[in-house]
Amino acid sequence: MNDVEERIRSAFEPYRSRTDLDGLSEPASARRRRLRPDPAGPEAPIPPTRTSTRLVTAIVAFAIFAIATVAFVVPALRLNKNAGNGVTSGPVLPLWPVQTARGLQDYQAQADAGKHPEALDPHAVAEAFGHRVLGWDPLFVVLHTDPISKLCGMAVPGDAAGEWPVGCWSPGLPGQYPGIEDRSGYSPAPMSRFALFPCDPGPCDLKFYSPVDVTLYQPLEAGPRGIWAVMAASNAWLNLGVQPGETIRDGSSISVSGSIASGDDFRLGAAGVGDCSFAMSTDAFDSSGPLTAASPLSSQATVDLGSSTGCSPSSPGYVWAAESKESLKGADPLKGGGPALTGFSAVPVTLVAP
Amino acid sequence: MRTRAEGKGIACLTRYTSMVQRDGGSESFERFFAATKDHVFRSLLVITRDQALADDGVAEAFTRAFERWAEVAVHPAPKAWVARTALNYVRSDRRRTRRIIFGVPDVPAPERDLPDPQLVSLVLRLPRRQREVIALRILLDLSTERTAELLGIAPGTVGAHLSKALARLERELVGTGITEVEG
Repeated sequence: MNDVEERIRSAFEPYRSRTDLDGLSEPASARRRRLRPDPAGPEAPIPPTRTSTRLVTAIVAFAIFAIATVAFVVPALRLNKNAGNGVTSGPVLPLWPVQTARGLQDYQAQADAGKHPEALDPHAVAEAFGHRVLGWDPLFVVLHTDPISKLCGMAVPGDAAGEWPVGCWSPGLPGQYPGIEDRSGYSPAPMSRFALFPCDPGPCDLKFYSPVDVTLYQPLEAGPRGIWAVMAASNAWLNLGVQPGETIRDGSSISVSGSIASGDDFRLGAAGVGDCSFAMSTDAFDSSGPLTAASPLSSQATVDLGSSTGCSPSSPGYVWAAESKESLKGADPLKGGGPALTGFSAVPVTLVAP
Repeated sequence: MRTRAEGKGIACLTRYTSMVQRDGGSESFERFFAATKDHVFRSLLVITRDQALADDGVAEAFTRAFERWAEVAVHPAPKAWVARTALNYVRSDRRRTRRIIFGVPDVPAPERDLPDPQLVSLVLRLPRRQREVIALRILLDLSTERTAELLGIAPGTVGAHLSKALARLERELVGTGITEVEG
């Protein structure tokens, strides 16, 4: 990513429009009178808002995520490829369908034995994720073959009808940082990214049932015999302040910012896997805007591993945020069995107990 | 005769249309408004260097988008639609008011702790075309093709302006100072 481009985004981030929804029906002349500075004095500065801070945080988080992906995950995956059949956990354990190094080994062994043929097909893994974790049926899976910005208005790849354009709302990783593919030294990694939609992409995307983008990779072995797993899931309206593979120490905070539709239930959660019994979630969030049909959302929670067992010294886990039309009380989408979601973001992490 | 895919698409679109008709599409429009208005505002601010005009442009563009939401919502690039409408508005406003601005007008800082005031100043001092490209490509995150379409120039020209602008900013950020000012 170009440093200057990111600096420009950050530099202008505090500038926010004073136009609100109520002002949209106001005649332009009235708006001008209201918005124009008093000629007798300098224009009053726009008061600082917490939303701008959160937006800056979200952009920086995405930037760090992209840089971390290119700088660490890609080389690590290449090392795995060179290592042939060697079993290495790599720096980032998967989010789904397994979350531990042992689970990966077992899953690969089962695939080698001819079980779980879908594990060798990233499209099938993404589709299974959409059904089992998001609870979406019907489900439409679109491969990001290009930066999403290049897909705007184009026919959906592989769509028989060929008439529904891909919308431009998906924040999928390719295209989130345009130009990164052109950087010297960058080459495609054994990763695939899919946008998951609950109905046909064009109209569906534009309905702001924003797609959930899933990043898949081959954690053990690149090539046709290597299993695929979900590394991260992201949704435009739920921006996690945590990156894949990040270390979450006892007492540290996790956060999410974005937007929530009126009436939807929301949860920010974290959980350990394997022997680590830790699990928490919260439905508390702040909203700096009016509670209308869709409101800004910001939530954070403290990871308290004190009463959990099996989490020392460190354990794999994950952080997630979900939105649903139904109650999410007691739910953990990655464990399945919960209600259908309208938004979901999640990343694998390492939990470090005191 | 409809294909299966067409049927699904029509069903989906029908649900969408019903939603718009039922509640005026307020939820989807409000999400769109909340998600994009500040980006559009920043873009207009960089292009016009006039906060009030930028806010007017935002209000006008989103008002028109709301009036035509059923149409805009199924546009392949609603953000570009709003940007085009806002650009047309500020351009016509400038033609109408025939304002002549010498030098670079002050754009008040939104906060006392503006993270990079020097860079804001440098961007606002760039030539108009370079500011337009930065506004649309970087601040509004439009594609090169959309930016070219909105500005009525070739995609290659967009890239050239962007490269020049970034190179100039990089050069000036490392300490060669602020260079010539163009209105």
